[in-house]
Amino acid sequence: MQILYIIFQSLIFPGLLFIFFIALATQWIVRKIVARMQNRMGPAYTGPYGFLQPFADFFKLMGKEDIDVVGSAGAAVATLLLLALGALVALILMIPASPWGLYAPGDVIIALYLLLWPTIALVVAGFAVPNAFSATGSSRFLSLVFAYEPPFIMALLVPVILATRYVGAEYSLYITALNSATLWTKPGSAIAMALALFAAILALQAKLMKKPFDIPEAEQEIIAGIFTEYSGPKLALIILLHDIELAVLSLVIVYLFLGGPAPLTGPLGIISVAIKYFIIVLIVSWIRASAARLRVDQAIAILWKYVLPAAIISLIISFFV
Amino acid sequence: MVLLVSLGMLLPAAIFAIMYLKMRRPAEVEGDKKWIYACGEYWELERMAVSPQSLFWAVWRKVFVRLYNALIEKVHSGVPSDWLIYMIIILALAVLALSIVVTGGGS
Repeated sequence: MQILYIIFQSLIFPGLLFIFFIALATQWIVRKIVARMQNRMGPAYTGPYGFLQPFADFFKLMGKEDIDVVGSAGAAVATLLLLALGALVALILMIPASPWGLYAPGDVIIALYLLLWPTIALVVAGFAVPNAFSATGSSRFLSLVFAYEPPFIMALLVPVILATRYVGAEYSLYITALNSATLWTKPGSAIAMALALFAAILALQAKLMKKPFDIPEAEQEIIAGIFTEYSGPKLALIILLHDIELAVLSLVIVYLFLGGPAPLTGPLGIISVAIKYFIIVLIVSWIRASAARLRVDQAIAILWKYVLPAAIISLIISFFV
Repeated sequence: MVLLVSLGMLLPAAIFAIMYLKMRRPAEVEGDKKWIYACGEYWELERMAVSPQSLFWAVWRKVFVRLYNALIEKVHSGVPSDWLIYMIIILALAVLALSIVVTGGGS
């Protein structure tokens, strides 16, 4: 019976179908917010208020010619992208977005493993084509990975450690997410949570390659960086991977740091989650729309000077409070 | 748990793979249209590689040179054993941090 639940969850809710819709809807929200901040209209023609534009873009790209340049490893890249998409969908099964979530003691390790799939897929995608711009983009992304990934992982561990200490979550992502609202009620753990939330959001910005951390795909310098040689279905998968990453990681932050549906319960909790999710997406879009691109060394310096110390301090506090 | 998560990962990946294989159109470009050109000339595949010195290491060298210069100016007295003292301090802090992690902060 559990297998049937897993199949339903991974394919329908909150898995593939749900997250596919949420991810492309989020892309529309981001495009609208950024456009309005830049005095543009954003998507306007396909569907009401242009809502169906991301869906139209995706299906149009998927139906195009699948071209691999000479010397590229197209099949390997496609396989990695597909597995990375699957990994993100699997991650959503480990938070209480689903009524029959997957959990076990220490499952945070599995979650961190799943989180690495998109990063690996994108790095390999850049190095898998014979293009100097792609290789440069991948190299820049790899440099950023070493700057944002440690604080991001540390920040995600903070609520897990606190929940293990306070409510016996046994390093489980799912149980932590169920109890994360209570972690804000004690002054010491609230400080740790606030610092970790700050680190997680800024590291998320770098992980998603949004401005000011869009260095790996800086159009004016390296064409499209990692994505220069990609078109058609592979580009559709890359864009979808980006969108699903934003949607899933925002939901993970909502559940781990912001208490999920709290303070509401039952069906009203969905509204609470939606509002918190929108706030995270709004913050990401706001920073993207209002910040200029950093140089790669500046980005690393910012991540190490401000984000990493915040994550380390929150981690240390979480051990002592 | 690991098997269930793997199932949860591979099922959507399989559906995406079916979508990818069924919806894409096979490439029709052939011959010299797929070759590599730079500045209007045909280039050998080997020439497209960027040297590692120009990629990853260039960034890190730049970051660490700045850090090294800042350290030299601020914390180094000129006596070589300074680095030894710093190494011992850092290792002691690392052992302390590890012991805190292993013991769960005394809980």
